[in-house]
Amino acid sequence: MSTHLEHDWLVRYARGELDQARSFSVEAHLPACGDCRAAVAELVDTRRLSRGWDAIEDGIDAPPRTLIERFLIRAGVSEPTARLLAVTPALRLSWLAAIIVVMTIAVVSAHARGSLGVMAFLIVAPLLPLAGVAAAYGPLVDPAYEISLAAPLGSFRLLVLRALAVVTVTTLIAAAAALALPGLDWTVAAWLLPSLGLTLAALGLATSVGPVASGALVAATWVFIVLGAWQASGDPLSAFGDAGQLACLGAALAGLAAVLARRDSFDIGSHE
Amino acid sequence: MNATDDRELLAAVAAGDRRALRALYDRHAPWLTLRLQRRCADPDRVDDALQDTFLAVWRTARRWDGSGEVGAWIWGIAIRRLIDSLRRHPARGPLQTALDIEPSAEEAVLAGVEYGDLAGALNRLSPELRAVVQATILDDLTTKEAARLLGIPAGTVKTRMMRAKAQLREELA
Repeated sequence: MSTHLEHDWLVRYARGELDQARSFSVEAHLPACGDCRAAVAELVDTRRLSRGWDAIEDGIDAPPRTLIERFLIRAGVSEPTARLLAVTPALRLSWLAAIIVVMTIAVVSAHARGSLGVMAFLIVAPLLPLAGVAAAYGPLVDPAYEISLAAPLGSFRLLVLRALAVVTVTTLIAAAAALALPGLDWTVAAWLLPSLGLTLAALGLATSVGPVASGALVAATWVFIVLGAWQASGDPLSAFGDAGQLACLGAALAGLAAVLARRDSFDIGSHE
Repeated sequence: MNATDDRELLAAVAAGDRRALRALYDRHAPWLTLRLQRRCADPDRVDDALQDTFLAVWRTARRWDGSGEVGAWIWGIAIRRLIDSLRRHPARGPLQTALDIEPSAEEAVLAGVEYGDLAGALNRLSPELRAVVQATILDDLTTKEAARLLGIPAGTVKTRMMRAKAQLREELA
């Protein structure tokens, strides 16, 4: 289009009052015409535009999204939630690598040492989500702890989100490893309930003593019980029988009840 | 003259010059805001889409292939960002867009007299049909994209486009 648009059209277009056919003309003309664009620029709220620019500068200065973050956003997770999940310590590559190494060693030892090795695997597998959750939140380990305290988001919700993410990832890795155990018998799944029990018990205890202390306490108790049951009965796997599984279920329920009852304790500074 | 300036600015943006991005923003943000606003009545959504657009320009400026108008390229990003936002968080209830403003009968006739039959015929289309014509012809969107933008099924976009064409053909015959 060679001629310029009438100023009156632009004014009415900016107000949304121009009829459709003329609006089509305006919109076909503007992308190619700097003069008319400049005339239109006078008609838009400058405060709105400068707010927009501020937001763009913030976006430029923000650190780029990590791989995990982009994946989560693609999967439909909202952007702030994706960022909070992506900075979860236990979801970093170094953690995942460490988990995979530990699981590989456990599987190899199960192959080499028979039921003693299987016991080692069953002790370690439930400890992985426990360690991940203990390190998922709190002033000692979370680089974003200060930020998350200031975020308009309950710490409890953050904790649940991260715990879910960590448990999902570690459980998938442990499940893959369990399939590589010698002999596909009941031991393949024997770590699942203990996993849940330990994680929830640790979360429940964390309402009183903080995440790191409660993680350590629960882990120590777990190892002590499994080794104790072995010494008492002579069977390395005796802690994973019916009674043991039921006890783990009980621990899971008790932990869940404690978490729900004392969820407020995860908010600001109450678990130093 | 403006077109070459835009190209130079985009080249500077590709090299990481933030002031060049600011200059592009000052030139293009106003008309993009108005044009997006005519397609989505929620100003916050429009502002978010526009901010995303200029962040995309910042990050992808060096991938611009150098053909066509810079303004048209940025618009292409902007309308797709808006559609993306509508896909992720569908609008609650039907969107009230500027398309719902009916020109008065008098205006429609005047448009026909002053600007030829096509303008009059366009103005006499119902708002639903016009929205589809705008999305598929003026904005050059695919059927799927138009469907997301307008919040209607893709099949409805096709049938409305056929009805619009038939009506325009009849009026211009």
